[in-house]
Amino acid sequence: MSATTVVTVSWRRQARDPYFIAGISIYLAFLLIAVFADQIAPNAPKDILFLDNGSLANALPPSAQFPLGTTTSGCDIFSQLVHGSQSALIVGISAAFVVVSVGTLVGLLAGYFGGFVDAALMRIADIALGIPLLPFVIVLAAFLGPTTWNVVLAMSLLLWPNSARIIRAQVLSLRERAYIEAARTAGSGHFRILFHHIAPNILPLALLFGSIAIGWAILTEASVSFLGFADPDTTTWGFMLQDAYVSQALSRGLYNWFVPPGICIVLMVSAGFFISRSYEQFLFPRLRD
Amino acid sequence: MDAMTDTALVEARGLTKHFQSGGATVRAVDGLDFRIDRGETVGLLGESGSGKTTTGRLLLRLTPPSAGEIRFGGADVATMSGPALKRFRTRAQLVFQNPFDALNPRFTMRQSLAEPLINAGVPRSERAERMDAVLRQVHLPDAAGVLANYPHQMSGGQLQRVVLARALILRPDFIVADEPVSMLDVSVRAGILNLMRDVRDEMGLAAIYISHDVTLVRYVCVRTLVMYRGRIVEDGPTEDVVRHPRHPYTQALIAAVPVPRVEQNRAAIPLKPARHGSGDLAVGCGFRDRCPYAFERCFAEKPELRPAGAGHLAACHLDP
Amino acid sequence: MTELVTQETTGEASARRDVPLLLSVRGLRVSYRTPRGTMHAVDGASFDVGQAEMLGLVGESGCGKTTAARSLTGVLAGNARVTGGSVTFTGRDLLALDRQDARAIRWTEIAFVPQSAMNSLDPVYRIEAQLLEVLARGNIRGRAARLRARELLDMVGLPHTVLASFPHQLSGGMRQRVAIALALALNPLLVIADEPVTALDVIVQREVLDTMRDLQRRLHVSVIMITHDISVVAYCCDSIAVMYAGQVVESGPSAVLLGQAAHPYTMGLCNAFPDLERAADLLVPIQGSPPDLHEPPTGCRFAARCPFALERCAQEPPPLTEIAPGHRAACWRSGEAAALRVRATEASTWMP
Repeated sequence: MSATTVVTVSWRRQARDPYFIAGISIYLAFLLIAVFADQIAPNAPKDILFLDNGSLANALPPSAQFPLGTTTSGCDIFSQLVHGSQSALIVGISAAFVVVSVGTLVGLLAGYFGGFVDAALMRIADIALGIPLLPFVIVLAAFLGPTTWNVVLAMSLLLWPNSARIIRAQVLSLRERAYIEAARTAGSGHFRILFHHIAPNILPLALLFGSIAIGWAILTEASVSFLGFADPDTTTWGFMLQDAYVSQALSRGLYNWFVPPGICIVLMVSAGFFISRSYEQFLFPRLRD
Repeated sequence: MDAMTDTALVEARGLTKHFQSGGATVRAVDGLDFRIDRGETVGLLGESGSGKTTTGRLLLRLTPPSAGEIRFGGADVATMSGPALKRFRTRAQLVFQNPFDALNPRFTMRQSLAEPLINAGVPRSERAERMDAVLRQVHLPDAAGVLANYPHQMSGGQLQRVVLARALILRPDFIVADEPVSMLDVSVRAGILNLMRDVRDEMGLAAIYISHDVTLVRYVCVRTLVMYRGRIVEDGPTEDVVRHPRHPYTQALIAAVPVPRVEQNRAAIPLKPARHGSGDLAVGCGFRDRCPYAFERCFAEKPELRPAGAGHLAACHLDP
Repeated sequence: MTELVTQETTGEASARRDVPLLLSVRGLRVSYRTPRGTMHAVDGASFDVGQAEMLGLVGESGCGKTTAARSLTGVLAGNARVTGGSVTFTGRDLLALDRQDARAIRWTEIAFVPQSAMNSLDPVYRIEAQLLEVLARGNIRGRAARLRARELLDMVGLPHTVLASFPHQLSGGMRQRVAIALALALNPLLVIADEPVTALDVIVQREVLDTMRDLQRRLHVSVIMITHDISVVAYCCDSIAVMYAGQVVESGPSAVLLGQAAHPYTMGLCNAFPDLERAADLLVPIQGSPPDLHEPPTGCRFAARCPFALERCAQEPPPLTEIAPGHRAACWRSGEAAALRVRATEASTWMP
């Protein structure tokens, strides 16, 4: 007769889940590459390189000296790829951090207090959702300059509503739980309930959004770069794709140029997806009979 | 009603709570008048939809009344604020129905028990001692073991004892228990009910036990209030209400309870069939659609609680 | 409307002990595969159901009663397996049936009213549509089906206006009656009702039980009523089987089992149910909790909580033996049952 909801806080089982391992491994790999980029990459990403015989090292196929070949301007593709991981992680992590923090805070306040606070916050969220991302980035870049940080800023301003909404929904359901009422009868004030009781139960969901948000941020940055609005001073994977496109790499058959950055982007986004997939069992505990 | 005496700890006058549901007004609680004296255990008996749970929540100020008032120790509960409200929260506590949900699944028993202590400003040095004492009181003597556990590591009966402990740890004057044993296995219920009886005797708490289970109320409560569709239809000493129910609804309720013996009363309950979605209750007696004795006055005039025996009231137009 | 059969005690039914058996379960074993290992939910359960007899299958949560009943219909959870025993139903072995045949007898011969059946009605279909769907399984369609639907509602005491309603427009009691009507639609021989009245208010509960009892008598249907409430089985069941930790520990006619309980668990359960018609005596709990069925104990499963346990009890599991015609108990001390019953009524016996 008794219904038991068991939240299995079982990190050990989590850690053994293949999806989780895959996702974490990808992140760790790229993290290492980014941290040791200078050591791993033989050249600076924008350096124009020459062969021993003095000619421009352009459009070379993969070789021992240039593991992924060179671009049509004579840059080492492998070095670009390695350095690209730095921007990818910086952009991804910082954007994800802001989006999740803002989204979680808004979701908590809107869901818990309801009424006017909820209405006001959700209308702001609606406005943010209504603005298309890429045009906004472009406009912002036009006003503030096309730097990577402006891209992060634009994403932070527009991408938090999704997580806010879902967290708000979760808070709405948690708010009615008996142990929250118990806290109230035990004399706990609003903020104690919010941050001591509700927030810890929201955290897994927030982290879930975090892992997905990293991938989305990278993808968005790549799109912006591809459209040519990226920071010209930093090398990102999106920039590489744009460069390849502009240099007609496809028709020239220079697959070694644009396929690697594409794969890297896919890997990063997938990693986020894998981790979120492994979270499912943790987030939606089964009713034990 | 005659003048309230000083011994009344909780008094409700004209207590009303309305909800809006799809355009219609639902009268969950419709003009309740009752009192609970210090140290008195009162049962609030009613079926689903009777408004009993809402009444419990109103008493603890978990929801504001639409009309009427509740007085706790003479002060109006609905208008309390600041330090008065804080004090109220230490004096009136709630025991929940579902022990598996009443404790935060991510907290240890220690953290859950500490919550009321922290909020009441009990110094850290005293907390351990009070936790030990209250756990002993609820017959969980292995305090060290219990305090370190998470809810999913404990059985329903143990959890409900901790929920009770949490309610008792600040030595309140008044407890509202909403279906405290309905989600527990039968062989465990007896233990919790006995515990409640013991606590009642030891601490002299005033309490209101909300339940649909007549046998529970009879086991623990000295006095019983019977609710039907938001109104109190009977109010009297429990034994009297169980053995000589005066209101037709109570009579049907008592007759309908099965007993664990093969030889028992199987006579049909003389109620008219329930009609779904009956009309507006504002006028007349709420029970008129099902009452076998209903006559014209029942449709026109709401019956007030009238004496029907020693200390026993019933809201019915029929003469007792 | 239905005429209620009142005043008939279950004494008459229990006198029909020589009634031919409709269902005979012997040594049923059902296990679940869980992350923690194999859970032996039902581990050697045996009971009988006679023709036109109502059996109450009683036990607390986790005792295996729902699992045992579900295994009879072949509708078990994905991770559950029947691992042993035999189930003989009208001469056939139910466990040996393939999925096709098992599916064929569902609704037509064995019907299941699941727990909280009133919540398992499809919310997007009107009642009539749901009744017609079940009738179609028995090849009753068109006009004949509509007539039968009305007939079924008459049987359970519902007005025909219910046909046009959606489940959420009906009260809990009415929905439960619809669930009963669905179960009876194709004239099954056996209806298994899982906690049919637990979620209902007392008065509605009484009315639904009266309806079930009356229908059972008139249609000569056998019923297995699964519940944790001894008062309910005392009210309407002809015979009772008590389950504990996956096994049937005692079974027999209601009057005999309740009046002359032979298993300590049954004695303890009776103590835990207050009797409204008698004085408010002390309720006595049974200390401890049921064993973990992932690793069932050797010997009697109740030994750890039993006030009368001997050394032998913890080592050798007592078999379910017939101690009187139709009355079976699994206890090494069933011979001293009369004396133990007296001791069981004293609260001090059950204190640790």
